[in-house]
Amino acid sequence: MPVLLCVFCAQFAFADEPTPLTNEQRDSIVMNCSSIKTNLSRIQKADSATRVHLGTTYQNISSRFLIPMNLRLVKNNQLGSDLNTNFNDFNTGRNNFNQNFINYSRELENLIGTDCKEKPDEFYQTLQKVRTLRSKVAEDASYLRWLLNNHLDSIKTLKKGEKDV
Amino acid sequence: MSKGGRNLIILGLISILITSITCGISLHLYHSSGDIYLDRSRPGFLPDENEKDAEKKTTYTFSEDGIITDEVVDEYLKNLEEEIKNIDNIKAPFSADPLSDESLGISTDEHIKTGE
Repeated sequence: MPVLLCVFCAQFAFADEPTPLTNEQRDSIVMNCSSIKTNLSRIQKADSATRVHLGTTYQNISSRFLIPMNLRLVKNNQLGSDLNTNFNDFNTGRNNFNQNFINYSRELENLIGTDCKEKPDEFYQTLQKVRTLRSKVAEDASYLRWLLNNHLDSIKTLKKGEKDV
Repeated sequence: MSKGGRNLIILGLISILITSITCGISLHLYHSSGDIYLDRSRPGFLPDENEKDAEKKTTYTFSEDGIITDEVVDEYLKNLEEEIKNIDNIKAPFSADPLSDESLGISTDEHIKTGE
């Protein structure tokens, strides 16, 4: 068991280590520095638009659908634990999505501010951090979409268990 | 300069100082809280005109009063699925592709190095 634990920990330690930059990559970063920065700025703007679009939709779904439906179910004594848990998870997921987006954006801004001509290694290390933070935002978005599917399924079961109150 | 005039200048300077301090604190909080990254009204991040037109506005709100019937559930599902389409319109949000080495132009190919 301790051996297994060590192997498990070693895998995580390895995953946290940044991939070293090859000479070709270093040269490429220095040579294409300005176009890389332009690309990053474009991504930053597009991501901001995506965040606002998704954030607004999550907000609409929560305030116009989930909250009123939960209240209506409570009033009708039909609120099941799965629907309630799903609702709470959705709100927690929204907060995580926003917080992880802030963390990602902060690091992306830091990356854009890094001088890639003078410090290509530092630039690449920051880029790897940004990739990790971006993947967390993507996971949050997938998780929220999955929760909405669960919610739809739970609501569909209400039709079968319809009651006159 | 009269005493009143001097006092007026001092008052003006104190007002400017207080305004500068409170603005500085507000901007610091705006940045440190991360709200700046959630805000699209800052320069350089404003939505384009065509983007504004493309946004679909929802006016439907489910009522929290009344009984739960099959019709009510159907109406709810129909409108919610419509709203969820706004999420599905964005394919693979925050995918890894835009930040890949290839997309950014960071290549391991020798021809890039030599500029061929």
